[in-house]
Amino acid sequence: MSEGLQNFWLIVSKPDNVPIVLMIFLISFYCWLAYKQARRNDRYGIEEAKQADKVQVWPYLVKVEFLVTIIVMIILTVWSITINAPLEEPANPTLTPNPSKAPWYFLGLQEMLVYFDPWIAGVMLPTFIIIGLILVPYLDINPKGNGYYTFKDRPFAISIYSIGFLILWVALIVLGTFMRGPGWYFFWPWEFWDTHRVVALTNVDLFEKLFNVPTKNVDGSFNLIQVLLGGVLIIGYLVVLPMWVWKKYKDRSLILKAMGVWKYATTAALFLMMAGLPIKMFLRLAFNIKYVWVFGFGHDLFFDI
Amino acid sequence: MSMTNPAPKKAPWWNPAKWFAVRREIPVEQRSYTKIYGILSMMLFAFTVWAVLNEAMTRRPWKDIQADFKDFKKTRLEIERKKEVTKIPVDVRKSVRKELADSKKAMESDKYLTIASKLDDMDKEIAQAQRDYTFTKSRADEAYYNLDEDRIQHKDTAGAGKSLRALEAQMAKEGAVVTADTAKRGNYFRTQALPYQAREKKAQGVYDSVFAGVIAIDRKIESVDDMPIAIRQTLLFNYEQTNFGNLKMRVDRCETCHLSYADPLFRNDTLVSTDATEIKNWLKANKYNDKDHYKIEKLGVNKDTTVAVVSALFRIHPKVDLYIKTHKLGEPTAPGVLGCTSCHGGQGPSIVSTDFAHGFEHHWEQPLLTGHYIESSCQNCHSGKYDFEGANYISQGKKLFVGFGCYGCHTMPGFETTPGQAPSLLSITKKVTPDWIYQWIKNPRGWSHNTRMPNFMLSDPEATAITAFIVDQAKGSNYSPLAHYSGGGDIARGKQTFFDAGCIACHAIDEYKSNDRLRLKEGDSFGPDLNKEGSKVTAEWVFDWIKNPKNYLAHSRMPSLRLTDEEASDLTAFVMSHTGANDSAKNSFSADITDHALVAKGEKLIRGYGCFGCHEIKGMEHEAKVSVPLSTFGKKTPGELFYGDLDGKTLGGWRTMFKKAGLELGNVEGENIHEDQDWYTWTVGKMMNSRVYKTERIDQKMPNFQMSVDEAYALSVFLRSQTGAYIAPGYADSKDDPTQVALDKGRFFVEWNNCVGCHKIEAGGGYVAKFINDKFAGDQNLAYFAPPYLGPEGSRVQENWLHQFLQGPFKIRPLVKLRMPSFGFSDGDISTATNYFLGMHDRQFVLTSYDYPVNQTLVPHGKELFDKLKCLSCHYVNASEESKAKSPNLTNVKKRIRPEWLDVWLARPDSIMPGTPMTSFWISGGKQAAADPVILGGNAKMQIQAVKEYLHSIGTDVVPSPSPYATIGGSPKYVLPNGDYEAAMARMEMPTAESFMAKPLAPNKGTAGLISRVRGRKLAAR
Repeated sequence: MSEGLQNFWLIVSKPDNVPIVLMIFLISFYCWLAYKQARRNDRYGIEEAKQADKVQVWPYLVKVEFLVTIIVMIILTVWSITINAPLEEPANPTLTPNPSKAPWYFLGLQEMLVYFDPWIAGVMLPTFIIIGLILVPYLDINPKGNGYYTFKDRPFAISIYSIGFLILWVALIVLGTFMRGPGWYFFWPWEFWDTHRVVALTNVDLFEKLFNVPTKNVDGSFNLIQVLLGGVLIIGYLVVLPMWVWKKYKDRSLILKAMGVWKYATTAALFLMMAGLPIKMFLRLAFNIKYVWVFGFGHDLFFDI
Repeated sequence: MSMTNPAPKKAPWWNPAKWFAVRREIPVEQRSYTKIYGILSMMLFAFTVWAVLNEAMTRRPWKDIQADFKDFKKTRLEIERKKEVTKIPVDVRKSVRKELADSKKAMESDKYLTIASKLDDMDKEIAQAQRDYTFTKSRADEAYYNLDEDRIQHKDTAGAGKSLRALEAQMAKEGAVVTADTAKRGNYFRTQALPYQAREKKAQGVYDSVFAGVIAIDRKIESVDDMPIAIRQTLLFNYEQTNFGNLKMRVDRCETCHLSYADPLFRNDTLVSTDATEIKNWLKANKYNDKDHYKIEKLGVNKDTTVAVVSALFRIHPKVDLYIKTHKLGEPTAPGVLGCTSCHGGQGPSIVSTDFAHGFEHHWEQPLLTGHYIESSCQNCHSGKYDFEGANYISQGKKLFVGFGCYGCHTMPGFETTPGQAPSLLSITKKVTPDWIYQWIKNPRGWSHNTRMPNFMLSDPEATAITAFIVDQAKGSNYSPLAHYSGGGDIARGKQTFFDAGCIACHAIDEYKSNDRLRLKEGDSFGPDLNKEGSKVTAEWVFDWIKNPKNYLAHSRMPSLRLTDEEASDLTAFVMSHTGANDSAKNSFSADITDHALVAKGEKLIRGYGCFGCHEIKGMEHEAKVSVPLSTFGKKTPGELFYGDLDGKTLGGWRTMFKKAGLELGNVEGENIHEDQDWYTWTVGKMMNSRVYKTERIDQKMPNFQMSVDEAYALSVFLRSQTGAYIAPGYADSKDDPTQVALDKGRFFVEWNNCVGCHKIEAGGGYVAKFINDKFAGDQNLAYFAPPYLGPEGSRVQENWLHQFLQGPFKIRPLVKLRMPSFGFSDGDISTATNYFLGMHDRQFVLTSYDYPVNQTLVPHGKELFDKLKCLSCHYVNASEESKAKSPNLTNVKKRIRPEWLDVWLARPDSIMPGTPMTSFWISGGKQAAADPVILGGNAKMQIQAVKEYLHSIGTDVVPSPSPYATIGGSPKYVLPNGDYEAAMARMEMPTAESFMAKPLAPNKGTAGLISRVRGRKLAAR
């Protein structure tokens, strides 16, 4: 086995990473189960699903739940016997570990830091994630899909879940855990995590790349052309685009009509912000675009998008 | 669960898919969960049991180890018991045992049993009589009470009085019976039973004393049985700091497994042999039966050498007295107890597994130190020490660090203000020529094989530019020789002077070789090798230099040897006769070194290379250090070190190379090491070739010190100690303790001035003795007596005398040729040395009067002994006899020696200074004995006292004046380090102790017990 793969195995088999490995399998399994049922329901209709036999919770369900309790206790007992607590060095305020990683469940957020400045990736986007999740019940006007799995009846909701949760959250956690090494560089599983690795840093801002418009003037102030162009682009993406869609489709689409303008606007804003992450990732990875719009007031309020 | 399934199919449990399929066909209400519940509950129970076992046994491997240890210790004790038994002669053993058995037997004979039963009967009789008496007495008390009551109430007392008297009469009768019975029993016991009992008691006493050793071992065996299987730990309260600066306790549980570490029953055993049977027999004889007890290793090319190493679990710690006792191990509650991990590293609290306990887990920051790297721990607490007893590599590494002048470029705690290691360049052109400078900086070792000057790998233009600058900055020198060489001098005589004056202590020439290494062994180089000196400098310069070193270099460490003009001429001729071939570079040197552009280029280069770190260079007196601080270098991780283009093959190769040289690099087990990139390989690689990690892109400026494997290893041991770890005072040497500060300053002082080249002081030093012994092996020629051991100096001499002596040494032993040089010490230097000598004896400098009230009645006895013991056959008392005397003038004792030292010294000179020519008059057969059977009734203590009184009675009150630093043109020159001779002349009148004595002073501290702090044992015999 190559040294890289040995290194990869070392990381995968670490006690700390057991939950993540487990998560890969559990989420895959339950998604597969849900999609399978959704497919069946879509194909044969939900009536069949609704007609399935029903039994009393007590004792039939409780009985099974007790069984599961025992099984979980067995698993936890064996786990705690065989795997030692993953303790590390005593905390040292003068020494930052490399790579310095957030708790595993935040690694998706940490990954966003690669693409946005900390103010966007660490404060704004997480806030919108929480607000969006709170708003879901109010924005969702689709009455179908209660109590059974379906794709046909909820294509939008399920797509958003698949992209937003499975890819942008779970997949990024996995990536952050297993493929981000020293210096937060990307390492393939067969590559050794070399502390001294050097990667060329050639990212430039969008308009410098497109029109050779510098982000900042020689004296350090913002270049107005860039601010203007970036502003137009971002506002166009977040405001003009949804307005255009509303104008064009509000009469043709029953859904848009049913939602009304405010629900639509909120949904669109949340959706576009979510979609911003993969778009930015693509721009960065494919074209080395650093920022699309760099603009700010003083040191406290700025947007490096 | 009802089992009313109409067609219960048998579900095949071995095929889960089918089992589920079958099961799914059963209606939910009718599915039975009994078996599943049963199986799962049993599993849960089994795993719970497993959890308990895991907790109680699997994670407690030390329980087995302790049980094993107990068994083995008993085996060992049995061996000891056997030995102890065989020590007693067979017949003695037999007779003692027989007598004991016989006496016990007699106690069981019918006759004795009859006596015993009769005694029992008598005892019963006495008890009965006693009871009768007690009861009657009780009744009499009652009667008396009644009588008394009657009397108070004025009743008739006749009846009560009568019965009381009757009872009293009965009491007297019964009391007499008790007494008679007791006497009868006593008599019977004495005549009949006692002989039996006395015999047994005596036999038991004899047995106990004859078999005392055996009984003691039996008791030990019992105590082994009683030893609980338990965790044993040492707590180091407030020992270290957390990363956030709070004091923290350290817990060491190492002794939970390593129970034998201080048990004298065990030995530090290893056997190396080529003979397998020998190994086998040895193991058998020592009862190393179990495979856990020892490890067999095959060594040698053909693997024909076998080494049997006894497991560390059954071995005593090597040098127990030094390492364990002085660090208070085995006293878990003693203040300052050091525990195990303080030196060894490892995870003290862990006892779960060997790897965890030893810290071989990459998250544990202090894994067990292996090889000689364990010595690096000494530095953690004793940061001011240079000679560590039993820890050569840290001692050598530290001296190398100073010797190579590493602190010139790297910041290092403790060396912030240390002056540069190398000579000043301010007057360099008055000493050597530019072309010599050029060839020297190009390749220092090309000229001198063991110089400490490193190779900067300069290109020709670089070397030219640097030469130009060095010559340029020396322009302002105002050096001119004071002493002038008038030619002549005898080379052979010069060579003799070179030896006699003690130049050999620092310099190598001819057969007085230094090794290629710097102070790794005795006699390794301190000053430059002089074998090519004649081709380097001029005779004129040499003459002035050796006459008066401070003329050329005000801060030079080269001392004046107070040479006469003749001696100096001889030496100059001798040194100048040593010429050597120049490097080819010298001849190729031709450049206009006055060119300003060239000088400017040279200056820039020098600033880059940091030459001013070691040399004094004009205009660069206050430069910052050019390289990185090393204060936490020892804990750098591989990620923080740069390995350049080197791969695991090269790095691993070094590891193997060091191992072959017998120098094991540290263990990196449990670390995440990639391509052998660990701290140890990096450090030794850098030491051997400082630019080895240079790449196409990364330039390196550190010059190459071309260290040998030994040197690289020793220095890496020292560097490993630089972890920045804080250890609390009370454990570590305190910087607030004036005695400790004096010791630390003094230790550096004696290294820096190479006092240790001649004198043994603490663990090291006295290197010159090697040459003297080589030359005069077995010769009792006192003219070449090696310089004295200075360990006792702080308890021996009076401070005032020491001050005069260090200021300008005068002769003590007139016949001895080696002379104490004049270092031109300042008052500060002298007080450093004085406080150091005092500090070794836990004393501090206090102004003291050493006036000794002479006991006149003892003086005549002292005189008698003085004559009888022929003190004057070595010593002298008249200045006129000086030329014949081997040993010091005894009239100086009064002002030189501390009075309380004198009797200690007279009592046992040889045990204080091994090898001293002073005779131990009052020691005979290792014990104190009278030197004369008649005088003072043959009382050794009184005799010593008498000699002491006599010596004080003949003492003069004059302390010799310091000798002049040098004699030039017939006139004496005194010196201060700033070269201000006249000021020094004015200061020569040193006030005596008396002049300070305007008011009475406190008695000197610690004069009662002469406990040497350094050697940790009592010097005093009293």
